[in-house]
Amino acid sequence: MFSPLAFPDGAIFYDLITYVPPPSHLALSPFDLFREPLAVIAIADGQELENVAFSKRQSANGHAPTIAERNIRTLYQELEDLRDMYPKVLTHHVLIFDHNPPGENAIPLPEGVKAIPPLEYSKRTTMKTVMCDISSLLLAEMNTLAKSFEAMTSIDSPGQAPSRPGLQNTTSWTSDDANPTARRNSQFAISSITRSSSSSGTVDRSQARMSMPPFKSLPFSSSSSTPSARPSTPVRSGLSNPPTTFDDISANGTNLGTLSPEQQKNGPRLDSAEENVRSANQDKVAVQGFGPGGLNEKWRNKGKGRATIVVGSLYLQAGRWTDALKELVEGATVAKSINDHLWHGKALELIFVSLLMLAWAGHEFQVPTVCLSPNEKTSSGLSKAQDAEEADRTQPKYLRNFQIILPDLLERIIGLYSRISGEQLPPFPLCETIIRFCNILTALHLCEGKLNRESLDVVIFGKYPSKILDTSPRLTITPSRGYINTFLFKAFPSSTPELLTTMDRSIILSGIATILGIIGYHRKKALVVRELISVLIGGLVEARTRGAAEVGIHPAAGLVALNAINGHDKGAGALDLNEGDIEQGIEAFLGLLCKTYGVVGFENTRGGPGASTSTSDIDENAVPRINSQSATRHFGFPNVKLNILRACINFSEALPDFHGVLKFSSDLLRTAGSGVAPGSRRENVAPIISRDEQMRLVTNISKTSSLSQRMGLGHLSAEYWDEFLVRGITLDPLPMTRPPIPHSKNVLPGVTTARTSQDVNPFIYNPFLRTADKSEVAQTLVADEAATFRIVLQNPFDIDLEIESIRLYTEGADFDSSIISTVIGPYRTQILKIRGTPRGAGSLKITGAVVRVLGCRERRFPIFSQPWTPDQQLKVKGIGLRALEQNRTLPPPGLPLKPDSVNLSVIAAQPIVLVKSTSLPQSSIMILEGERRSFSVTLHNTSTTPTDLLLFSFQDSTQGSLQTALANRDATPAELHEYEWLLAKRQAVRLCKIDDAKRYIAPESTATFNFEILGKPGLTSATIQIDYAHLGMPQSEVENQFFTRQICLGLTVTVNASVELSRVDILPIQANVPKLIWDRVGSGKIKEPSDDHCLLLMDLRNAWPSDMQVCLKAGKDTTIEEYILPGNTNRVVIPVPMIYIEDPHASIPTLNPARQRQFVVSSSKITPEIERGNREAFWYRERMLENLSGTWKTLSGPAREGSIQLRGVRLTPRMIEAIKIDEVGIDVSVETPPPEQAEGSENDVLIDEPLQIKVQITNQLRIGATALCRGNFEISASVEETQLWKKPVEGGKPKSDERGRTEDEEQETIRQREIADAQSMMDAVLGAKERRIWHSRRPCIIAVRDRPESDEE
Amino acid sequence: MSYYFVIVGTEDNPLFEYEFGTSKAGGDGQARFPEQARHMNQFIVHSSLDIVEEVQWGTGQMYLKCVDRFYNNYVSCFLTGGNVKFMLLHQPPSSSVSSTSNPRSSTSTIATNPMSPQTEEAVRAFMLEIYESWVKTIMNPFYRVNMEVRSPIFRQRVAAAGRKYL
Repeated sequence: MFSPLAFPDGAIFYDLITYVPPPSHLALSPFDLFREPLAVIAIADGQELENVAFSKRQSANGHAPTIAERNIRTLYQELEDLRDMYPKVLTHHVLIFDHNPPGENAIPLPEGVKAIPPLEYSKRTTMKTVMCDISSLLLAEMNTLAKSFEAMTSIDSPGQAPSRPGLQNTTSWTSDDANPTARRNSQFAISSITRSSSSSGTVDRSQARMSMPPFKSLPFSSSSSTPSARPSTPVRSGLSNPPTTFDDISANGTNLGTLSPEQQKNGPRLDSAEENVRSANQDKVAVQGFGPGGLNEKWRNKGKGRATIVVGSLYLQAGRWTDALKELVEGATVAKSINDHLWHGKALELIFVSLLMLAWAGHEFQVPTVCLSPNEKTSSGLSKAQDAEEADRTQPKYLRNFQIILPDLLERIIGLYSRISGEQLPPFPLCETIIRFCNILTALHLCEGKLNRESLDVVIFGKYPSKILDTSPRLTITPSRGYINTFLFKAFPSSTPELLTTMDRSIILSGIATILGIIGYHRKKALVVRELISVLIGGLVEARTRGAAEVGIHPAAGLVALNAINGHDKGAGALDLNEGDIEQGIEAFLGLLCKTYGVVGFENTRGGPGASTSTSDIDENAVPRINSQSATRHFGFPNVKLNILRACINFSEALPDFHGVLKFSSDLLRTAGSGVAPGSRRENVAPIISRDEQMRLVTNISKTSSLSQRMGLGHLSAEYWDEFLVRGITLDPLPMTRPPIPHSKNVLPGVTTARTSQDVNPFIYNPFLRTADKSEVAQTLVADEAATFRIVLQNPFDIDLEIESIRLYTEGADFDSSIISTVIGPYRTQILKIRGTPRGAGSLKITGAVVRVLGCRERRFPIFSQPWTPDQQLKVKGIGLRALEQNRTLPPPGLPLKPDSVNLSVIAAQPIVLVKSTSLPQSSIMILEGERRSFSVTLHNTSTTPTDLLLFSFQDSTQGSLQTALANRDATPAELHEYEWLLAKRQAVRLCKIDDAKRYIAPESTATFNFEILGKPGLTSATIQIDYAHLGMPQSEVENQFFTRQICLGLTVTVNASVELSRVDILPIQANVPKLIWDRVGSGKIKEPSDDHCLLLMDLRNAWPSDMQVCLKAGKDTTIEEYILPGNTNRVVIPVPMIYIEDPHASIPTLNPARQRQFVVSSSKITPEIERGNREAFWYRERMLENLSGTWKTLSGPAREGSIQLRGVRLTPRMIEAIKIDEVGIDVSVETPPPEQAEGSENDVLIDEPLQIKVQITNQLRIGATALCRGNFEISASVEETQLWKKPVEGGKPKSDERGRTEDEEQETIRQREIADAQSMMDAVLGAKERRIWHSRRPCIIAVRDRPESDEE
Repeated sequence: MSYYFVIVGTEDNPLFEYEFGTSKAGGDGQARFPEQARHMNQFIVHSSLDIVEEVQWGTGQMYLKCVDRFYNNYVSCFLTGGNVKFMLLHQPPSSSVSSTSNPRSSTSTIATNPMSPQTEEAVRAFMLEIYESWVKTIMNPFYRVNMEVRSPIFRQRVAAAGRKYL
């Protein structure tokens, strides 16, 4: 009957399934015949055949010589068992793969056991031949099956047996001990199919008929004639084409045999004959209702018609498509005529499938008229066909016709299925049919609406084109996507739960989702998948509750309790989670869903788990990841995202899939979080889910992770959800003695570096120069010494964040970080101190922290110390789902995100030196002003590293005030000079000279150094700062920088007053210094007392309560000693030589070249005269103090001695006058006194007698004068300088007032051309150079007398 | 009839959401979505975006009419020039409720028949009014594309338009 010879082009498509279809599906069997398994193929491994005994039951196998033979017998035994187990299945086979029986002594394989040799040995017997063998057996068996269908008087529609008998038959399909999967299936096993359930079905059908719509609009076709025609089909099958196919179909059939011309002529005749039949049938309608046996007759017809359809579907399965078509057209006509809508629809569906198969096989066919819709049978269809023809001429006409009616046909079939009648199709097969049809429509759509080879390939083999559609418009293609979508959503199951089992529902939903995915409706697909997940959750929870009830615990007990039991008891079979049970692909499946809704996952392009852990820690990956996450965060509905994630969590919990629970819980937290690094602007960074939920999620994560660890799945952990965990790492300042201080090489004595001018920035101030960032300054650590770091951690969530471990992540030199754990409170940043020890010298870079949050994977977090908020794209670059992808490819808007790092340099191990002792009691000392004392300090090197560099520097309490005074802008240059001099020349503390070789402290030994302290007023404390280091090389080889440590030794100093200088005056001496004074000075040896001295008066006060001997020294050999009682003030007079200064108006220098000021603009407006006076005072004082010194010595009490501070002297202009020697010395004297005037004073001159007055300036100059009258005259002189080159000498006119005027010329040689500009600037304050006039100091007194003789005359 | 109105930006992100009920035929303007299905509104609207993205290219109109339905939920769409979608999900009251509570409401075509031309017209008027307010709102110089609209004035206007037309 089903011999393939009748239709050699046919094909059988095996649908190999590895499970027994659930009984609910099998119940659909006669209607959906494909649901019934027709063959059972058991497979065995031929390699194992000779090694392992398959069965322990030796007795059952009898005695066999080899293991292989025994095994084959066992297999045969099992085959027999299979036959017993599945009696309804037509054929049973055992296939032994890779079994190559040796040629001669082959073990005879029993019937039903077949061997498939390995690929290299397969010559004759191949997989294909084996399948052909099975097929031939199957086809033979189908014959009987078809016969049995034909013999049946009535066939059930599915879903019409509410009380299904045959629960007792369950074991015939599944046996609990034989099939381990049966337990899962058993809950669905309500019944198995029985073909003999007609008795109950009959009642239903009769009821159903009562509810049938009474009108019969559709024309009846012949019903009685068709069954009779059917038995003849197998007879004719090999000989000719079935007559039901229309002429033009067979015309092009290439393999079917030759076309007989009379058949072509028969075509129209057949049509008309059928028309006749139809009209006859229409006549019958009126009769049928009245006939007494009408009901019975109709019922019989219905049975016949259905049997025809079932047989037709058998033909279809057997690959005899033309025969199937014939049978089905018959059946369809019958079903249509008796308003058996369900089976009418079924017949049309099968016809449709047959046509598809024919089209695929390349046979020409004509669409049967039953398939055409009754209304637009001819006209519209034809016009459409012509339209299509114009569109594409390459397509064969029959395909085009088929393509045109296809959507209508499918819709009609669904309409018939879903028509409300007594026999309504259960929702599951209906939905499946819709999905199948939509799949076909989708295939059409994918192939631009053309029914051609490609689309048929898609339909039959499922070879979808690789291009994935998106939502770009495809409006011109029929069937349009909107149409498919609407059609497809008819299959969407309603929410009423009782109609569909969970499994069926999930099958339907996944089918819908698949098609929606193919047509590019990803959001719709996501909606369906979400529904699918909620269905699955329900099912899984139900199963778990049931499983929990079986093992005897309360169903409400959660995951933990169940799995705890699993650890001990294997009885909880349904919930036992083995490594192999962890589902593959679930993550990808849920991930796709999450992607559609824009859930913020950890990484959106996830590689393998190994890849993600190793690469995700790098900064280069972290920044794009954050950008991608923020792009995703902008995308989509936030509520929807949260909802979908909750669903995913529930799903994973129900599975139970620990990895999923962890992943989605952290994803939910990440999605809910704001994903910004908040700054001080107080952005709202609170997550969008409630605190309770966050708490629950975090608890869940930690619980799940710990549980998975307990179960031995230690690698499972979540990803932490906030990328900005570490907000800053800083180095805590080291304790005072510890921090190494960098010094440039120049500090070292003996090292000089020539600075080239290139180094020097020519600009004093450059506005474009960016100031170096303060944080960029490299900090320094010492190897093998612990340092403390502060880590700023942020927690923007409203829950405590438990950090299991945190340690620093460094690059560069070796570094040991301590590992600590902490808890960060809700919604805050917290500073954590962590210690770390560098292990080697070199540069060290801290780039982040490796953190393990409770339940999360240990990973490195980069440092993001700058606040950062993602910006949105300013321009729309894409719409919808594509926008997400496009935004990811675009550069992120807003500020770029930059991870920070802490740069540290680690220097080699350095010694630690302590001050062991000093010779001062309690580091304190009392000295008198001007006194010098020495003391010693002992240093101890406590470390194992030697100290080979020791530098000493000193600070004292006087320096501070001096420095502030120096910084004072109003200070005059003279004051500044004084301050600097005090700073530089009179240090309070200084180191006694030592040898350089002594500057070394061996490891764990001591060294002593001597210092001197000088009593200064205002000195209350002093500090000795010792910089020490281990250089490890000669100082000259130090490169660039070296580091020292410091220790400081504070000294408390009390300075008491000793001898004070209370008043100073300088008196000029008109004549020579009296001898008496010289004697007192004690330098009577001065033989030649010069006249250029003046007297210095000093009031010295002894402020110390003991006698003092004061010794003052002026010049080389003028010394005076004085004894002062306590509290007394003694006046000391000492002649000091007068001073000549060439340029008393020179600018006042600064001692410290670093303090050299440029462009000093005198802030106070002082007149040039005052300025001149100041400078004079400065220079004369300096010169005077150079020669002057004083010391004191106590005569009672402890012996002390020191120097007297003489710098308190201030020179007034009068005192300057007294001490200075003029540039032009004018000495006026009478040249030649007359010899007779010996009795008078030395300068007596006679009246009317010319005399010569000698005016000595620089050179001897004589001028003539004549006294005109008597009396005493003073002749003084003044010298004016001029710039003229003249040398006229005018004689003084002897007048009564006797004013001799001498004009001297001085040649102003311009010597100071080369004076620096700065100098002249400084001199600018002196005002314009005026003509200077010198006056003679001592007038020459002349007494003028009359001549004695003339008086008498 | 209950309405869920949402303005969706180009990245599928909601810019504005508003739920309201009909004010015609004695309605009180309160949305009466069933509590357990309420969260589905966003899902349904989101899934309709697929259809919108296809349909928008097939017409020159901004008002795309009713683009999608899911069970008893009908989704109408209005598209602005910047591809911002005004999505209105309307859900007629389930038949049992409407027949018992207010039998007269069945006469109102807007409330019961979401596919009728009257409803379409009313939704169009509603959409146009909102479009006007929308344009005024996003003229705000501080507004940037795809930013959520939080203006209470705009919300008031939407509510007023809902009262007026739906």
